[in-house]
Amino acid sequence: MYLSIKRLFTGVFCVLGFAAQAQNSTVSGEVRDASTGESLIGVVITMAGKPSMGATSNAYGFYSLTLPQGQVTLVARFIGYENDTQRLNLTSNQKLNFNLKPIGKDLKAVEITDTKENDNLTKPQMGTTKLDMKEISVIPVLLGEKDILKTIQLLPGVKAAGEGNSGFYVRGGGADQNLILLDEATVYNASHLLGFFSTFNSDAIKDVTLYKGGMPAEYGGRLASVLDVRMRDGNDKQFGVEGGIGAISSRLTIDGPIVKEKGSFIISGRRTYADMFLKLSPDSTLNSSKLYFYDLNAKLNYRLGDKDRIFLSGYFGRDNFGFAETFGFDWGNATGTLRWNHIYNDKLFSNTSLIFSNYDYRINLTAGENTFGISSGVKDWNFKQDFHYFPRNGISIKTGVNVNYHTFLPGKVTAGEASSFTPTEFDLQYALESAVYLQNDHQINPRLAMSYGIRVSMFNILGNGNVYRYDGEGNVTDTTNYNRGEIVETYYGFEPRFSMSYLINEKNSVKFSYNRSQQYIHLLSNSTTSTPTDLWIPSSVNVKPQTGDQIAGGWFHNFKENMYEFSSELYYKTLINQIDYRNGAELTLNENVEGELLSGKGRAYGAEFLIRKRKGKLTGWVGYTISRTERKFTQINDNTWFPARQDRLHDVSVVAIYQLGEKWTFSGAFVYYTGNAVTFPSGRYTVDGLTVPYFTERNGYRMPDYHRLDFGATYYPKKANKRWKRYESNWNFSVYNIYGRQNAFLINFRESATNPDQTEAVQVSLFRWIPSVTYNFKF
Amino acid sequence: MKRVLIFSLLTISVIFSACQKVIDVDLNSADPKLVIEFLLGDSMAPYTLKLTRTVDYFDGGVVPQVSGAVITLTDDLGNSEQLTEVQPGRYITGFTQAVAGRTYFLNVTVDGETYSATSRTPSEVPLDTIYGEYVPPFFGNVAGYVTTAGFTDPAAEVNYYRQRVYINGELQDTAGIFYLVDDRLSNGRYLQFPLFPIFAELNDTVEVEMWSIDKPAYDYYTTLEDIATDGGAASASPGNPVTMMSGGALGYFITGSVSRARYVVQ
Repeated sequence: MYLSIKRLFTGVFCVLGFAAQAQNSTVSGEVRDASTGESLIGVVITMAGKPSMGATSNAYGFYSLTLPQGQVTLVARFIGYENDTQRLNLTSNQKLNFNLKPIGKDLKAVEITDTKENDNLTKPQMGTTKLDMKEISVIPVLLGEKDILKTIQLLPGVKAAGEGNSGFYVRGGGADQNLILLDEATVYNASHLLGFFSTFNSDAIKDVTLYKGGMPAEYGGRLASVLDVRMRDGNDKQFGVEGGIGAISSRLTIDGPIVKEKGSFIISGRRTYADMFLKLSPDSTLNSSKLYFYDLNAKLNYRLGDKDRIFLSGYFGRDNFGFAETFGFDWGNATGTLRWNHIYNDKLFSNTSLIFSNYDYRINLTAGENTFGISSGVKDWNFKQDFHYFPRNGISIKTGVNVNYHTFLPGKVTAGEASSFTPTEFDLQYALESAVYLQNDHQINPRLAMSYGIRVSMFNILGNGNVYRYDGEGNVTDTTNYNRGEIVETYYGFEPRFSMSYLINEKNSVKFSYNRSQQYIHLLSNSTTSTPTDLWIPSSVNVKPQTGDQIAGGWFHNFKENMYEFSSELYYKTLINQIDYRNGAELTLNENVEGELLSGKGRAYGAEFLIRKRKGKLTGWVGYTISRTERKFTQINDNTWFPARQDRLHDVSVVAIYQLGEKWTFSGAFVYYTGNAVTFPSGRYTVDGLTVPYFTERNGYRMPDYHRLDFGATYYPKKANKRWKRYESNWNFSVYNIYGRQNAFLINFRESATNPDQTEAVQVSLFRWIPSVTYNFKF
Repeated sequence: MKRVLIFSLLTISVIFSACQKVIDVDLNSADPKLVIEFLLGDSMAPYTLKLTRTVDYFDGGVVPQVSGAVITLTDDLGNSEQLTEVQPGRYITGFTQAVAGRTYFLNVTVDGETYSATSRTPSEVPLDTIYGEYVPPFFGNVAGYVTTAGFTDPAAEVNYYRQRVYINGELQDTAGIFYLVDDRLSNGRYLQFPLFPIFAELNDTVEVEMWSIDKPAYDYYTTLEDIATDGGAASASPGNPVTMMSGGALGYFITGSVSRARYVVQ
């Protein structure tokens, strides 16, 4: 016993002592795109011949690597870029920037030269996917609107919320349990047009990372996943214009230097124009109607010397829906981020952010002198301070604090004198959500890597007006009035995060992860699709924070010299304080909405398999998920486990991209999944002559299985004009649902139109054979 | 609110030209349940109570009538009467009519099982305006006159209303729309709303009757409305209307005070 402990100590000492004995120096700097100057996220920099000596560039393109002194060769590698190799004689701490050249259409560059491209095996992170923005641009989607949210739905463990919908479910979580961040700002409603399009204009986006498990401690606040979207910084070398003209929308992006190689800007806009056709109509109600959405992304950044960089970015997007002069409905997000990056020294990087986020909707009705309006929303002011510390090779520590001040506007009714409605403003609700975290990414030895951390979160509900308490039936039992700023209730949670990977050999690794997360704000939505009026509410004396625990294990295997990646992950998840609704719950403009809620628990488990081919003319993946997602509520289905709506046993997606010569890229995407769990009537009866369905259980039936094949082709014409050397363009053609499968969007149960004693089930399907053409250009 | 969403969804469906077809769905069979329908007004007695049972959803026949029930109606003053079965499944009252401020108890015994329900009758709120407005055709709707009936909501109480429309004496079938309104956001205001899509023609006599009902009745109608048109397909969690009956029966027992207004379309 004594011996083994001694041996253990010696071992630990060896690991820790190794770096301390040699003379070390730190090389640090930034990784950028050679043509645009954009900082690159997640670039792996390793020492040639010693792949375990390495670092990854962080969200701002910064890296730091401490190495033994002497001659070293460093290689920077990134998907879609040529490797950048630099030799240096390391004698003291040194700054070294990498400038990576993007791989053009020229396929010769995609040679398999480096055999160490197995980061997917060696990194402890599980359930993490980085999207390749180039892939997104060729994968076929509905109406040719390339969309990051629809592309992530093609990954195992991620499910589409419905036909053509940009909402998604991750590993059994609800659509509201995904944290969607755009330059660190929460996007509360990431969809346009009732969910058919996402708020993300791909032209303005640099990097997309999805965490479906093993969430790093720097993120928190949602149970199921984090989707971290980073906007482009803009080209700091030369001006550029890029855009596209599509079937339903057009896009335009302009970027360029403010001061060459010191600062740049980008501004990117998109607008749909379905309503332009309405203007052509002779019908006065139609031609004065509105139906469009737009997105505007803008970002500025400037380097103040070598050590400081500031960023200002913003996003504004809105949907506008209007019918003649009588009805108006608009909704949208606005976010803003002010960021300051500071390099204290070679090993310590800091980021300070002040973030604003807002979501609201407004409805206006006008009938003569009778005017009526409803508005509701949520607003955040968020401060974040993060430090990234690289004490020595193999250790990367992140720590920080985060204070987020939420203001919720549950609802406001405006009404004219002649209106039937009383102007009413529900009490604003205030809450402070804060967290501190500490996380270490630790390469213990060349085979074993761990990432461990803790996040401590706290939620203070701050007073303003009445706080109600409810009994089991949802009736008010107590009303207490609080002054503005008074603390009504405080919740806190410890959220441990752990993941590890063990490299068995060059081709195989196993991983394990455990994490807990807390969710303090909740989305109330009782419809089958994402709607603008879905309401965010804070935790309260009645609504407890949601907690989720997830354990996952996986086997990762690369073969054919890392040309193919295979992964399989198993997960089990438990969820507590999940929300459902009482029968007939009134969720909008209801001061006592918390009395309409039910609290229960959930569990989800499954296995995900993915084979991915990253290189060659044919790339793509095959993903398969087998999973279960269940909920349990005292008041539903006699307190037994029942399938959640998003419970789908099988889910398959196949994506293939084929490059034919230099002019054509073809792509195909096939999806198949088991139909959602759904509530259908088992019986019927008659009330006042109406046929009424009689339900016996929640989610006891299934929608029909869903499947669909999409096809896309992109044509890159030869550059025609010598004077316009920089002008590049392509034509993108796609067909959604190419074999015209009638997938069920809804199934209505109703009286037969011909015989009122007969009843029938009517399937509504939406999209079949939807073709589209988009012209994209860049100069 | 909900209508706004349905309207938006409809518009979207039109734009994307949704396609519909009748499909086969394999549904379980459900144990038959008793269904009680009893609406008791404040004038025009006698009132009829209907007793039926549920059938399986795709059962082709009419719903079965339930005979031989013993039904008593009692009020909070102790007045009581037994309803008389006049034809299978139809039972009528004697002279009992709802009186504002009273509470009524319904007791139904059939095949040894007892079901009961309670309803309070609110005060009458008079309709003081009624008129029709011509609405041109759009989105495939026919043109016609849409009726609006107005009234002042009493500020001192919480009120719930339901309006019904008769054209030339005939109660209009509204395909699952119940014209319900409460004063949650309108307390003490003058209330009026167009009864869309009921279209009258020139020279028709239109009568609107407005029932003042209690909260359980209002909740019943709103939850019935949620599922009556499309089987609840637009909701993520459709369910049966809130229960008004103890003992596990479906349906309703609602009493109310009724006011009326009429006009001739000109």
